[in-house]
Amino acid sequence: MPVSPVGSSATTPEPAPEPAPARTLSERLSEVVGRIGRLLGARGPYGEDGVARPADSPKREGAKLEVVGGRRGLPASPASDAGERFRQLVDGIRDYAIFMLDREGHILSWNTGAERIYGYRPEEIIGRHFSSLYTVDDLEAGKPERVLQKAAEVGRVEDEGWRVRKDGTRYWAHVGTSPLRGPGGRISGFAKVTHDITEKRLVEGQVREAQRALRELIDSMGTFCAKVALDGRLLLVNRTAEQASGLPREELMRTNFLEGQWWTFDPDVAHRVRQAFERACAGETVSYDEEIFAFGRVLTISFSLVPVQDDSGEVRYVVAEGRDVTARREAEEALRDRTAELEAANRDLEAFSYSVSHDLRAPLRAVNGYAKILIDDHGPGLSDEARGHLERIRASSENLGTLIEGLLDFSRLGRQKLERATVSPVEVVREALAELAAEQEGRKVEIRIGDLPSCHADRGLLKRVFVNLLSNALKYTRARKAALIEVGFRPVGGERDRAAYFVRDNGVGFDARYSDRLFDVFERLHPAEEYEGTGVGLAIVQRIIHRHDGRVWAESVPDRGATFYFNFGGSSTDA
Amino acid sequence: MPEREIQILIVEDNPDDAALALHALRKLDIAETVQLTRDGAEAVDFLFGTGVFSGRKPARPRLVLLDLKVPKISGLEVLRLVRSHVKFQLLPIVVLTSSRDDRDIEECYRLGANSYVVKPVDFVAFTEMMRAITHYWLEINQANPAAAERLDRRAA
Repeated sequence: MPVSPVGSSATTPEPAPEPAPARTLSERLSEVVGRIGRLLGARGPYGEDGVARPADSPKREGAKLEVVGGRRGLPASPASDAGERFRQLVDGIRDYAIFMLDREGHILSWNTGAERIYGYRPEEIIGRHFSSLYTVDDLEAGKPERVLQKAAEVGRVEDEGWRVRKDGTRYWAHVGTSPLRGPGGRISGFAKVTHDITEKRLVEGQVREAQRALRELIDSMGTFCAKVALDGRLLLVNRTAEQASGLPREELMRTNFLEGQWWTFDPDVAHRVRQAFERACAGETVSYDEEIFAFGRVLTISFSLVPVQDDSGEVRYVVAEGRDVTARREAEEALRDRTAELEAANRDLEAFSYSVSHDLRAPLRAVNGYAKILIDDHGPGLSDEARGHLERIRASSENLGTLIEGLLDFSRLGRQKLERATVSPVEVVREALAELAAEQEGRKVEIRIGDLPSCHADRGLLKRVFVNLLSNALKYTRARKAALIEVGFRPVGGERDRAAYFVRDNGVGFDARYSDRLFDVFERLHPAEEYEGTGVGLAIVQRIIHRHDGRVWAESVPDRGATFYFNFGGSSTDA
Repeated sequence: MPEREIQILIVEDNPDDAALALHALRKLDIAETVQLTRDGAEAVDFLFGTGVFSGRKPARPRLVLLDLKVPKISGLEVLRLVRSHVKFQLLPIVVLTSSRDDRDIEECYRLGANSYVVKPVDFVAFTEMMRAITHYWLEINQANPAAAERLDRRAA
C-alpha cells in the first residue's frame, strides 16, 4: 500500500474526511507492536513477573544492562521463535520509530527507524526517559506524563506533536502509544510507534492554504455560488450565497438546493429551476434570468447552471451561479416607464398641436373673412384709411395662418415615420429646384451641382431639407445681380463622420455669432420686412437631420454668402 | 312653407365658419338649398330622419360638407355611420376641415370620403374653394341616380 499522503491530499479539492493511509498503517503498527510487546513483555527478562521495575527501583542499572544485551534492546527471547521473528521485523522497519518504554517511561528498545528518525544510536538512548524526545515547551506542559497516563487509562493514544532529534532539530511526529500489560492486567510498560509526518503536515498546510485561498476567492465574489451534487445536495456555497440565504451555515448545508426557500417562495420559479437543473445534470449549460428570494426580498439574477464533467464525460456535479441584476432590471424598467411617459407626453403634445391647428385657424379665418366681407360689401361707405386697416387685418391673419402652418409642419416631423432607403441626392436636388422655379423667375441664378454620393435617408424628408436650404439660398441672394448657388459634398479630412453635403450661396450671409440660433424655431436673423419667412424652415431642416442621427451647421461671413452643411451620421453616406 | 329641397348638408359647429360658408354660398346663389347641422348627432338625425328630424321626408342631399371636429359624434364617426348604411354609400361627402393631419386624411379616405379639403385662412381663397367644390359636385360631377334609387328600394 503506497503511503502517499501528499498525493491523496493534493488531489482532494476540499476538506473531506481524510482517508490518510499513513495514519491507518501507523495505527495498525502501533496496535500490533502493542500486542506483540505484551506478549514479549509477559515473558521478557526485564521483569520475571512481567512487571517493569518501578522507577525508583535500585535495580534499575541492572535492568538497563539486561536490556542492552539485546541487539537493539528488544529482548531476545529464546522462548519464542515468533517473538524473535517479530523482533527482527520491528528492528528492520525504517519508516517508523518503534520503541518500548518501561512503566515510568524509560526507553527499553530502539529500532532502526527510531535511530534513523531521531539520530540516536540504541546505546545512546536506551535507558533514558522518553521525555527527552519532547520539546521544552511540551515538557513544561507535562505532555509526556499525560500521554502515558492517558494510554494507561484508555488503552491507546494517538497524538501529534513536535519531537526533538539528537541534533536538536524538530520534526512533526504522529505517535501511537499503547500500554503493555502483564498477567493480571497490570501495566508493565508502553509501546510507541512514531512516524515523521513533517512533510505531510507541510503539504497539508499548503493544501489548506490553497483551499483557504480558493475559499477566500469564492467568498469574495459578489455572485451567489454553489457546488451542487446531482441529487441537489449542497457541496459548497460561497459567503454571498450563505448570507443571501439568511440561514445558519449548518442549516443551509442541510437544505437541498432545489428545495430552498430561495426558489420555493414561488412555485413557478421552483419549477423552472428544477427543469433547468435537470438539463444541467444531463450535461447542458443553462443560463437565463431568474427570480430568487435572497437577502429577504425577491431579486432578479442572471442565473447559470454549469455541469462539471469527469474525464469520461459523466456529470459529477453542477456549479450554480447567480448574479444580482435587480438594479439593472429596475433601471431598464425605469427607462421603459420613462419612455412610456415621454411617449404619453408626446401624444399629449400632438393632441395639443392638433387642436391648436384646428382651433387657432378657425378664428383667424373669421377675422380674415369678415375683414374681406367688410371691404367687399361695405367698401364704398368706408374711408381709404379704414379700408387700409382692414387690408392690414387681412394680411396679418394670413401671416399668422402661415406661421401656424409651419409650426404644425414642424411638429408633424417629430412623429412622422422615417422610411430610409438609398437615395441619390442629385435627383432630389433637381426636384427641389423644380419646385422653386417661381423664385428663380426673372433672376440671373447660376446653380452648380457637384458630385453627391448617395445616402441612406428618407427621400421625402431629404427633399424638404434641400427645398428649405435652396429656398433660403435663393431668398438671400435676391440682392445679387448674379446669384451663385453651389450644392456639393465635402469629405472633410477624410473623416467619414465629418463629411457633409453643403449648400453654398453668395448672398447676404449672416453674423456667425448667431449661427447657433439659426436653427431654433421662430428665430430670424433678418427683419421680416427685408426677407419674409416664418423662422420655421431651418428648424424643420434641423429636425429632419437630427431624426437621421446627423448634424447640421452653418458658416457665414456677413455679405459674403453662407454655407449650410449637413450629414446623416457616419454610416449613412456611401461616400 | 313647403320643405326646401336640400342639396347640401353642412356639418359645422363653428358659427363663424358656418356663417362664412353660408356667405360664400349666398354669393353662389345656392344658400337656400343648404341644411346646416351643428354637431355630428344632428347630422346623422337629419340623414336618417331621426331625433328632431323624425317624421320628415327622408333627406337626400346631393353633397355633404363635413367638418371633422364637431361635438357629440365626431366627423369620422359620422362618416362611418353614414357609409355603413346602404342608402348613403354613394352620397358624395367632402371633408372640409382645418386638420392637415396625415392620419385624419388617411382615415377619412378609408371610411369612404370622396374628397378632403383643408379650409384656407384667406377668405378669398375660401370663397373660391367653396365655389369650386359646389360647382364640381353639383354641376360637373355625374351622379348615379339609378344606382341610388336601387339602393333606396333595397333599403325600404
